[in-house]
Amino acid sequence: MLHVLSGLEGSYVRYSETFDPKNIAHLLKGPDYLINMHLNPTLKDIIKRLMVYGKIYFALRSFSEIHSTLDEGQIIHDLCNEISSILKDYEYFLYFEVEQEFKNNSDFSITYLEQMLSMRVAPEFNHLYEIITEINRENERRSDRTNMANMRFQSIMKSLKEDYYTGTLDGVTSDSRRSNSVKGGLALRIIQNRLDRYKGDMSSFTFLSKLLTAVSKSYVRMLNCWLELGIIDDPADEFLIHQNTTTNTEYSRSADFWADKFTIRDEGQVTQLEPLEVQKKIILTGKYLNVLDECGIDVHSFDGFQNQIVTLQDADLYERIDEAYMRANKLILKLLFQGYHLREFLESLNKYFLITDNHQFDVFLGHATFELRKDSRNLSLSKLTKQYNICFFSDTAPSGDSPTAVTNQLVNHLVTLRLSDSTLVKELAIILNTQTTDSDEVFSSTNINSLKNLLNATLEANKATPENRSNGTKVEEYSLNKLYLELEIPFPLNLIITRSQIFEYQLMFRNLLLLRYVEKSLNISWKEIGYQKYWTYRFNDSVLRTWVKRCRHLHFRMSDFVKMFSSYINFYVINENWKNVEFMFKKLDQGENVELEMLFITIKSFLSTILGDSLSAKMKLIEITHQLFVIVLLYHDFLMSLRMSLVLLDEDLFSEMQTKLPPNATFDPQKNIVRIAKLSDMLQKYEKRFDVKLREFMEAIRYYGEIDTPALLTLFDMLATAVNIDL
Amino acid sequence: MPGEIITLQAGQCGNQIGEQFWSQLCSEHGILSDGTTDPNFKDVYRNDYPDAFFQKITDNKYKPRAILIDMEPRVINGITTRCQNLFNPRNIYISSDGGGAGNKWGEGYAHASKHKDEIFDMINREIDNCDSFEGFQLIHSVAGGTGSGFGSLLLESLSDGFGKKLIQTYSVFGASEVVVQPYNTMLTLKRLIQNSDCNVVFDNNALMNIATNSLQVSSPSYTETNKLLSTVMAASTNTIRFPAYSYNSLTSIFTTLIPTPDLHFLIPSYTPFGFRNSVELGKSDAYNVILELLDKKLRMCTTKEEGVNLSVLDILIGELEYSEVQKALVKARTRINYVPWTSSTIHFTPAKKSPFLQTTPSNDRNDVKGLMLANSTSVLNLIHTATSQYDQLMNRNAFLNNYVNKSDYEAEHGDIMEEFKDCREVVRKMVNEYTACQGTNYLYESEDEDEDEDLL
Repeated sequence: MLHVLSGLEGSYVRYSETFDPKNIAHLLKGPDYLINMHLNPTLKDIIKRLMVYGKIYFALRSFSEIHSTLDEGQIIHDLCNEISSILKDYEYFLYFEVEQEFKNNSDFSITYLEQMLSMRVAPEFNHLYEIITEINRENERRSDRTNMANMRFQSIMKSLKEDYYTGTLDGVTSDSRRSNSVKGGLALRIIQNRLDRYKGDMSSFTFLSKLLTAVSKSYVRMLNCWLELGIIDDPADEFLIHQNTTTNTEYSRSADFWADKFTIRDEGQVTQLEPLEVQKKIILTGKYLNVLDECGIDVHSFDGFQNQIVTLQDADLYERIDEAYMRANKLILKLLFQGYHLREFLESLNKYFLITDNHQFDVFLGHATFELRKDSRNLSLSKLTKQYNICFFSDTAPSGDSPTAVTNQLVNHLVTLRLSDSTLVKELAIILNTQTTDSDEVFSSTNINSLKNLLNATLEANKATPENRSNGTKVEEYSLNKLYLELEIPFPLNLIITRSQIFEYQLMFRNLLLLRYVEKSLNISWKEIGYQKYWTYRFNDSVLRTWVKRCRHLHFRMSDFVKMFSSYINFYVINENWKNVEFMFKKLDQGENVELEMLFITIKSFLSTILGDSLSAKMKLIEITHQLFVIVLLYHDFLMSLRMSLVLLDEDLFSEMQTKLPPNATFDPQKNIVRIAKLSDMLQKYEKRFDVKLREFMEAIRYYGEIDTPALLTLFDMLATAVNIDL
Repeated sequence: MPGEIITLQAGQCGNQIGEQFWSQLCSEHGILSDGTTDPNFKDVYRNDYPDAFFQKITDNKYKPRAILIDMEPRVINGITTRCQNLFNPRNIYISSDGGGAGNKWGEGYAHASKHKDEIFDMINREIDNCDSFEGFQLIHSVAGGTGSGFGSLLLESLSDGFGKKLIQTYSVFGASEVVVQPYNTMLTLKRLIQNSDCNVVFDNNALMNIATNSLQVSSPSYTETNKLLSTVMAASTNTIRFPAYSYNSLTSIFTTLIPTPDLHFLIPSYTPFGFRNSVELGKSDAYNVILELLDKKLRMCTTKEEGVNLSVLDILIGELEYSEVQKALVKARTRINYVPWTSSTIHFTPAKKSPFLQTTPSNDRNDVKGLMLANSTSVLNLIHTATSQYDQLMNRNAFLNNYVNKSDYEAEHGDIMEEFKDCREVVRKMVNEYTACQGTNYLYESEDEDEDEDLL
């Protein structure tokens, strides 16, 4: 019996015939015993119960022998150690205590032996056996390739549903790779599941938690190391977080790379670390520390975090994670704000993209008015760039070392003027018409191929977005519509101001460029019609004098509208929303706990709000606004082209100016009647078109203001009280 | 395009206001009274644009783009003693005989005409120092001799010589005790109407009242009233000197206020001046300031009637809550009247508080200060006073001996009586224009058909 209990064959009890000691699966499962039929039947029952211990002992021994190599990871290795030490206790018990009893105790019987075993050994053996059986089963499943593929798909679907993958620093990407064997978290999870099931059973619970603590030792060490230093010391791929590496140094500082440089392994997550919130904090903590490290800061030099995690079952585990998370937040915010002047950098971006300091830009517009009217094919971008650089020259040579001066200089170096392939309106049309993939359809797909087909179909549809939105006026051809600012954000600021934020900045810039250009044009024609000699001439014909007055009036109304619109965009939209970002800065200044993620979200919503509130999120609004501006620009051109006509319309003026006129110019009263009628007609057309469009505009902003963009109602109220239009 | 502005200050009044104006500008830009930058602000990042008004000589030395003109040395000498090295000595013109214009428009005008080339040399030299010169501003009084006479010739020559540049004036009415004041005013008004693009007008009585009430000085002197004036000038140029989203050029301000070149008189109101008792008057926030600005008593031009507005621009300096501004503007809008053909809106722009000004109890960071510029028919009151005073004198041919016969003016420029008549006619037309613009048919009628002389 002792033989059997130590996993060997005895004389009456033997391994079953199917047992093959060369088959690893058999070894791991442990042998089934057969009892010699000649054995006293009274003993049979009890032997049957006892020989289970042999089987378990055998299985545990094989498990700890087979798996104790470090290839399987530290955690399995530790489990094996635990098993071995329990087996050692068992052996001691068997060879010393039981043998002693057998020799010296006259009352010793096989029933007594069974009692001893069931009290001292059975519970632990059972738990361990169940655990290793679970591990063995899982290992077997993983060795089958078809199972793996299916698991992979399931996990992709799961991550599609659950991810909050944002492609940015604050994103949490899951890692759907499957391990071929049970190790790390998977093993811990198996123990944990068992622990959960035995929560009510005190002795089992104590044993299993002890076991878990012992086995998870290295896991906790990795967790602490990650939370404190951002280092993954995980040669066997066991930890919750996995690091992707690259050798490309350029790429190693790109936002894309950082977005999924670290991924959460979605299999084998220990229960405590399963909530997404917790995972997010954990991954971000180390990620932030890694950013510091990438910036050349020695993470070891900081005070470590006070309360290291001792075991996964600590009651204050989450508080400790929080503490580490806040510590990392503080460190990275300090890096971004004090080392990289994030605040000043954003202010510089506002200056360049949102034109918060119009002075330099206005000078640029003054020089570039002519170029910007050209067709983009005839535009000299280098000339434009040169003018742009001259106007912003003062930023290139900062007067002082203040962070604002330094970042202005940096941003100045980083921005370049570019020409887009299509106009702003077309580009917005493409973006707004983009068909999104239907999530229900995605989640109903059953395998990888059907998912691929679905995604491809969406891509095709997006490519085929119509491009036939040409209004056909010459204003559409102005390269003004295609000009934009390009900027590559340097590391680590690119982690918080990502490509999509820059894209929004760019759209705003293009909006504002048009708006400023319209304002500029109106200023130019204001001077023309109010101060140019012919325009201010006291014409003999009173009809003509009245006509001039009406020209000025329409101009003044347009200018009023554009000014109100611009005031709305600048102050109500940009300035007011920027205050939310400044509020975050203020919190930081006051030393409040701010999460980088919150800051990121604030910046993000700042940009998306200003885009929406400035009418760039609805195709209808974009089109009407653009059409209104086109009317204004055409009217501007009309006024600017009339000098010669005016001279011809007045006899006195004509004779005064005759020497400067082309020789074939004549004063012709007959023709002038027609000319004046035509001018009057033209003016009326502009008046009417402006009124119609303005009404359309007002109706549209009221409509969208009521349904989803309340800010537009402010603009509506502002215009409604001012513009004499019945609605 | 935003560009540089050259300031011309003529006569006693012009130079005294100018001195205060430059001293305020200097303090707002961290410049000391000798033109060097204040070393205390070495590390402050400059986001201002002093270059509109100052020429940067070296890294830490600025010179005002100003030309100081007077026909007697007293005032200017005082200025140059107090602000040593601030002004470019080559930009100072003092008549060589030093006798002054004796409050006679003709003297000033004729003298200016003789020495026009000297002044133009100064102006051209100053323009050479500009990157993109935008326009002139003239500070003067219309009542005395130099500011009005010299100023008038300046305006004529500037509009003739620099037709494409803007000319703005800050013109003070009634700041003189002399009996011939109405004559001087009438002769200058013609030039304001014909030869300048925008006039911000003040009248001395209003300034005195405001000084008494707001500054709580029982008998205000010119120092106080000039302080009011220079504060208005600083505020109206704030958005040019501290550029933000908009209104950073003279043009952009004028396009908002001046619908047609025939109507270009602006009346300023400002609040609050200096320290205010917060218990008594309430908080100086955007809401209160916007509504307070409508107060007739704050207008720097005495007005009996409300008048009808063509356009209004509020410049608000300080930290603003936009919702407050919006609320106040809506309310304010209902309290004033507009001519029927204009967009009845109050345009507004926030302006920046200078980072160089120290915060003191009377200069609280959170205090909002506001300037309202209104192109309004209430300017007619001012013109009316000027014309009726003029008519009274002229009907009696009183004190004309200062103007006719043997004066330098008539020798060069012909019969001054003709000039008087012409001036009176120009002013009459301007009054007609401001009167006609209140009618619904303004845009469809020719201006001169019905002549409403009775209105005056």
